[in-house]
Amino acid sequence: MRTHLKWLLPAAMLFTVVAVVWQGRLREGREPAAAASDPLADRVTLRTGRADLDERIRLAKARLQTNPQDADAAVLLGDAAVRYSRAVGQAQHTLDADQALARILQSDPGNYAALRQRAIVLLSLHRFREALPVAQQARNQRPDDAANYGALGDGHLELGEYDEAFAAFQRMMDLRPNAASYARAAYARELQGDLNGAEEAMTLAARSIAPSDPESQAWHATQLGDLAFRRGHVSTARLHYEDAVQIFAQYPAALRGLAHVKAASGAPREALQLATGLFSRNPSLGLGEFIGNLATSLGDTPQARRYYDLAEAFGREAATNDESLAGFLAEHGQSRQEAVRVAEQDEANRRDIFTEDALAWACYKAGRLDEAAAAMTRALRTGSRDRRLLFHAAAIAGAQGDHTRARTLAAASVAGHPQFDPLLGPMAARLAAGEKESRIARR
Amino acid sequence: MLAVVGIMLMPGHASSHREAPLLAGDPLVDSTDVYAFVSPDNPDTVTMISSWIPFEEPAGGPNFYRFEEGTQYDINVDNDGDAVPDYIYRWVFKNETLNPNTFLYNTGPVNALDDPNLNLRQTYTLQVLFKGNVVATAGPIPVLYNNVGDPSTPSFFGKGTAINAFEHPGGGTALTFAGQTDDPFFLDLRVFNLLYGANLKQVGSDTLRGFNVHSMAVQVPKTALRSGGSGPVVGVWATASRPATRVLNADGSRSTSGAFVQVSRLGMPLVNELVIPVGMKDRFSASKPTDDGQFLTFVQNSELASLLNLIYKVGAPVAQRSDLVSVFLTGVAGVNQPPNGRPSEMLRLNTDIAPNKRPSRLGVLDGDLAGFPTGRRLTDDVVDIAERVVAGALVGNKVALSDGVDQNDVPFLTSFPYLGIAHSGAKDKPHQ
Repeated sequence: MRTHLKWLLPAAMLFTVVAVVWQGRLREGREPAAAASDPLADRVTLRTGRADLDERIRLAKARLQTNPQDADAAVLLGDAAVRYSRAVGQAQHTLDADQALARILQSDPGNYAALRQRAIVLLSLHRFREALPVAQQARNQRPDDAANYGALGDGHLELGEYDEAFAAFQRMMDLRPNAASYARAAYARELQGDLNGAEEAMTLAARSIAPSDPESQAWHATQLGDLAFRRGHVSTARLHYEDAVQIFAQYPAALRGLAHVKAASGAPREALQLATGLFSRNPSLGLGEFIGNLATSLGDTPQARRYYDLAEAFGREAATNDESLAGFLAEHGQSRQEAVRVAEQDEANRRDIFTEDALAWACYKAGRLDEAAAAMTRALRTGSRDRRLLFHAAAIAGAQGDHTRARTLAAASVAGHPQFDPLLGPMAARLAAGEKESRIARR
Repeated sequence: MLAVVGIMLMPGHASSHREAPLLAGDPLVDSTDVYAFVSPDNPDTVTMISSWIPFEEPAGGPNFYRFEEGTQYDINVDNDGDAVPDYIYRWVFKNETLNPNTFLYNTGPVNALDDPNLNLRQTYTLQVLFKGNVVATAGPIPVLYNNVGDPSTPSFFGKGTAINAFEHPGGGTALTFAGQTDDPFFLDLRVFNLLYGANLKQVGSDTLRGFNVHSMAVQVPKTALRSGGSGPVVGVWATASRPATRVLNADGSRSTSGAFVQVSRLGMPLVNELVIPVGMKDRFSASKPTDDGQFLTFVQNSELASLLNLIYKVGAPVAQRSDLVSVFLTGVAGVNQPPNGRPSEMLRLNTDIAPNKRPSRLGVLDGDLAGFPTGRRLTDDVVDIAERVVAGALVGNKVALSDGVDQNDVPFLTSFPYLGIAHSGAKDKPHQ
């Protein structure tokens, strides 16, 4: 007469073990202690193919419908939703997950897994300021869990609090080098202008991901593509993007990368086709602007205007944007004053270099050169080699009469990669060649 | 039409969040099991095995599982009881792609490790460290490729494939192996699946049936392993370490790599699962055996024993469990306890105990001193043993607990590396 192994699964642990088993990740069931409150412990690797994400979201929502206090379901929904928004491109599930997690934390404020996941969900919704205290609370509960430093660092970073962000990332790395910490080291290095170092770290990140996690694999491959593209290594970028699409079909960020690659390698019409197709499924401000720029470079002003308008409409409505709306309005909007106003509002909330860049550009376009220069100084403070940022800095320097600096910055902006953007690339090249800023960037 | 309507409205226009994945699992450095036993067919040697990457679906394309490049996969051996590794066997892997223009694993049938049709391949270098110094290096040695299945991998893992000999420091010949194998662990989780209609799965079904893992194994001369040690008992555990990198640019310096940081640790089976509390797992993964005093209380006061009592009323003692301390931390006196040893969590193998020709799956509990918790053989039923020990088997409380799975789903080989052959990606159905 055998006694069953029920002791592995006392009642309090059932939900999570079920959740884990449901993902086909059975070994974690050996960890009842972990399972009790921690469905996303490091060892648990949920499969992340498109069908897996769809299924997880569906099941988690069904469970939450039955029991809104099902914390594990909310955590699983949060994880799947954040991935879904990256891989498929909608924020609705993330918003649902946020509500579910908020409800659970209301009745169980110390629920660790819910806290940790909520911080990530808030970051995904770009509610950085709100994410920080949640991440801090999780960190205080489990100071050995490297992920909490990642969430903290992400929040600080997006707010422009770089010292705090980089310190958190270093702590994360020292606790546990893994894909998540390598990827953050890569971004930190990129922000400091070290693209070689960024690529090194991102390569470490990419090779730490298992095939059971195609969403992360595709994300990292796309990042490697972006880094190669930013360095002007267009054909290498293409290989990485193709890799990503091979791993996760239709991965939006990789398709966008491929459109950039085509635009930069003499195939603007193919780029346009790819980008407009992507826009119809995954519209975004930045993609719409790219299409507009592409159409402009092809002399198709009506199409350019159409996509600028769509981009603007999208940018004004969307919960989160991939580029700064203020920066877009400064470049393509109807009212320069509005662009400055939006940029100032943004800058009151976050001081990251891209928000500062947008403010600088909006001020420049509105003819407020001193403010533009001051904001641009702040935008350059991390040493970023971002090509658009450098072009903006060049134009502002030129407008202030510092033509040497303008040429130097413009040359850096196009160095090794004159096609980095269909519109800005040629403008930066002309500036680098000594043409006057006033003839290039309309004010 | 554009899906502009319906997207949530929100104040502010926050942008440009990079949003790197944060809570990814880490299966490539997830050590599933460690084994150490006196080689049954070569009793002058000790075989040590570690397995990694749980739940590999045999049909794994288009991306295939492999060891993580650049990571240090270590089997550590303490031969003098001070909880510090004396020997470290370190496998470090390197990826190669024959044809970078295809993502295919193989471009035709693969019949040998050097078959030109094997497109994605791995090699490794095995280092032997003694007291911190590299004393032997073997390699590069090819990794056994994955059992993608017919027609890609006919005659997979034929006899002797991927087994390499090297001169062991201190004398004698040693063997090394690395590659895809069957997951040798067997157990039944018997979980209660609420989501699919409360179906009870039956006890007695190997939950890990049909899954593969990646394993490495080494077979070394007993005398060499014990050299400089304190006697016949050696402690064995596996770790994986990755390089930490710097986040900040150091005035133009581009050097990435800092120290290697341990991200995984496994010795005795089920310790991480059943002994270490959830909030301590990250700390345990990064910890060293010399610091195991911090986990003593979780062994002495067994939460698991309380659970057993709660559910089964087995009368297990819950506090002051010196019997569990001996099993998990010091070795059992007179069996596998080194003299003056420092309490620490690792498999402890008494290399003087000859292999048993007819091993009992219950090991020491069945009077078979050559089995778990004296080291660990592939056939040892550690779930049954561990649950009975926690219920109090060593202190007179004998309860015949079992998960109903007594052996692995595939046969183990009778010679090195002993592990079962990896399931074929063509034959075996995916699990979901």
